[in-house]
Amino acid sequence: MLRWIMALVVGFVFPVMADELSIIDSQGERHLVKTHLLAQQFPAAPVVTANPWAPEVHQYTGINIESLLDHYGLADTGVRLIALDNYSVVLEPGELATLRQPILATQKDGRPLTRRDFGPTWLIVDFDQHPDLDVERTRNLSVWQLAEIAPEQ
Amino acid sequence: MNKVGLSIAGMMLVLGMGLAMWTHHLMQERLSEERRSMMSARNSELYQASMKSEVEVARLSTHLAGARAGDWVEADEMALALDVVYSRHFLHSRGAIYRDLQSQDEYSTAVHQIGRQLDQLEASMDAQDWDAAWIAQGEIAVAMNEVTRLSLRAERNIKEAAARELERFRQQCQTLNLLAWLMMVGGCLILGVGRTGRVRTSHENDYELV
Repeated sequence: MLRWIMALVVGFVFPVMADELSIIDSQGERHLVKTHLLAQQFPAAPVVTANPWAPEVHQYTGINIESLLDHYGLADTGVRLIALDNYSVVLEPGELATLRQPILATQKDGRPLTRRDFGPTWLIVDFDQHPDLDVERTRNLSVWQLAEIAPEQ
Repeated sequence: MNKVGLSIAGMMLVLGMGLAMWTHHLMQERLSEERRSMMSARNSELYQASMKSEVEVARLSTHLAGARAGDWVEADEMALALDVVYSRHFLHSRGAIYRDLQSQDEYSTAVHQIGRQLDQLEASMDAQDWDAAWIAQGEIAVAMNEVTRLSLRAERNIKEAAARELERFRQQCQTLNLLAWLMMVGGCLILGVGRTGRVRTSHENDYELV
C-alpha cells in the first residue's frame, strides 16, 4: 500500500516536473535539459497564431529551434522529432527554413504548456502569418508533446 | 488556297497545339500534386488519428490492468498515458481532427461521453479504485471505437468524392486531348485539301501553274 501511495505521489507530481527535453547531439551524446532553461538560453520571438489543433488565437513563446539545433550540431542534418506518444517525424535538412521561423513553444499565453495541452514542448508554426504553410506536411511537422530530438541516421 | 482557308487552318493548328500543351500542363500539375500527397502520406503517422487515440487508451489500459492485478506499475507512466488520452480527447472535442464530423450528433455524443468517462477515470485513479477505473477505461475504449467507426465512414466518403473528382478530371483531359487532336488534324486536312485543290487547278489551267 505504502509503495502505491509513494508511486502515485511521484506519478502525479511528476507531470508538473516533466518539462525536460531529450536532445541527442551530433556526437550521439544525450542531453536532458529543462525546457524553461532552453527557453532562456535560446529565446524565440513570440508567435501569435491559431492552428488546426487550437483554433483560438494564442501567444506562444519558447525556444528558438534553429539556434537550438545549431548549438547541438544538428543544423545541417535531418533530425527526428519524437513525441511522448511515440509519434515521430523526420525534419529533413533545410526544411526548417521552409517553416519560416517556427518555435518550440513551452508557454501559451504566458503559462507553461501542460501535457494535456500538447506540452511541454510544441513545434509551432505561424499559420496566421503564413496561411500557405497550412498543408499536410507542415501539420505533420507540428509535433506536440515533443520529448526528444535526435539526429536521423 | 485562299488566305482565309490558310488562316483558319493555321489558327486550328495553333489552337490545337496550345490546347494539347495546356492539357499536358494540367496533367503534370495534377501528377505532381498526387506525388506530393503520396510522399506526405508516406511520411505521416501510420495510424488514422482516431485509431491512434484507441492505441493510447490501450496503453493506459495496460497500466490499469497491472494496477488492478496488484503488480508494480510505473505511476508516472500511467499519469503520462492519462495525459496523452486527455490530449487526444481535446483534439476530438475541438474538432481539430474531424471538423466535418462535428455537426453530427452521434460524433458529438461519443466525444462528450469520452470526456465524462475520462473525468470519472481520473477520479477513480486518484481514489485508487482500480475496478471503477477499469470500467471507465472500458467505456472510453468503446466510445473511442465509435469515434473511429464514424471517422472511417467520413474518410470513406472523402475518398469516394476524391475518386469521383479524379474520374471527372480524367474525362475532362480526355475531351480536351480529343479536341486538340481534332483541331490539329482538321487544320492539317484543310491545308492538305487546299494544296491538292491548288495543284488540280494548276493541271487544268496550265498557264496558271506556279
